[in-house]
Amino acid sequence: MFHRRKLLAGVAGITSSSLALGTGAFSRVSAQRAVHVDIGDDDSAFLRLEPLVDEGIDGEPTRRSFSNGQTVGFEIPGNGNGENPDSEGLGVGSVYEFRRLLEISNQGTQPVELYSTYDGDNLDDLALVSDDRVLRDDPPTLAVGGSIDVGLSIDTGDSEIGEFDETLTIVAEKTGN
Amino acid sequence: MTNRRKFIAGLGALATGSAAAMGTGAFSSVQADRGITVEVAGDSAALLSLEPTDSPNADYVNRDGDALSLQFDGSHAEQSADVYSGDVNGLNADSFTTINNLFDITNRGTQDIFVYMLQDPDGDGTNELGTDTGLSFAAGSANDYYQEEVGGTGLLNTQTKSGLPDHPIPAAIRVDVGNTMPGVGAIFGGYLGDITELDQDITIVAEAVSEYERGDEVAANDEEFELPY
Repeated sequence: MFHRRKLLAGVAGITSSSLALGTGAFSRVSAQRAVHVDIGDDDSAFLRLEPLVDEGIDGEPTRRSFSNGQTVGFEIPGNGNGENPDSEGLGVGSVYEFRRLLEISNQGTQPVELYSTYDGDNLDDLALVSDDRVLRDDPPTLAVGGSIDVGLSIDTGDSEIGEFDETLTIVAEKTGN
Repeated sequence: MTNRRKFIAGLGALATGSAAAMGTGAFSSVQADRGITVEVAGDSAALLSLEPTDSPNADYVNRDGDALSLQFDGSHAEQSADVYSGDVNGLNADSFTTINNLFDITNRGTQDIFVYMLQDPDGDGTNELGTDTGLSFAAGSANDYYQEEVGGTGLLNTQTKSGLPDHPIPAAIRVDVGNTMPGVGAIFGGYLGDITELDQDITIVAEAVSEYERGDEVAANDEEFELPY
């Protein structure tokens, strides 16, 4: 288990002052208001990202998804004991799907559509995938408080042999405008 | 509802007036204290009215007391904890978050105004652009034409010197009497890195259009104008 740091900061005293000048025809008003922002770990953030335990060989975790304590990441092949030690990676010219690596929950205030984008060069495609679709053109909607299990779809296409550090962008966007 | 506090400065005890007469009868200085009545209203009823929107995102607006404040710390989840499966502590680290439609700004004064915002992240008394925290603000425009063409406008630090607002389209941040600049939202545009907490004040400024005397014409609320981009 990762060691979770506690980042819930105390709610600061709200010091707000409002300075209104004039008699109705104000020529300038300057009002100071407080903004308080906390940054959560991914497992307690507005968009909650929680690695799912992916069981591999002998029921041991593959650790293909993990948290470094603050943010989540993926590693294929995983470095857990459940990963097959004989595998060195994905084959070229293939589309792999690894389902149920991550649970994503909407802990905001509005329903959101969930999808991913990838603009790297080393893979032909990299995307989040749910049990029934790649999260791209027809993204699923997460209700407030709702969750979905997602994994990765990786198209190696004509990738070279090697190790690549890629970035997947997870987007949660309010439905409609 | 707005729990209006009323402050009436004491009247009376006026005459600490001192007239220094200089021989000829001409005085060079008179000082006379007079009573001033000032009413201070809650934000929603003030001359410059700041009101949470009816969007669900208004849950991030703290209405306790008379002055609103913004809280992105998970407190929105406290009223309905049964809806959320896990702890809700704040923004995602290392992410780009936009939270629209927090509050509206309405001009309840008697003059047309420009509205913009300033921030002083490090508290040294100066307002910086492009800080590491990347917190900025945008809103809908009270100018219908601009709103339709562009969809909204940035509000931050659009005035750093005298003259017309630095905003490329001053009309975009113009709010005529009775009009509303709708849906001020927060944009956490920078990667927040190792920051775990951020407490800062934002300053909302409303300044009368008539204060700008360079003679530049500013389009009125429903006027169309040339967009520079």
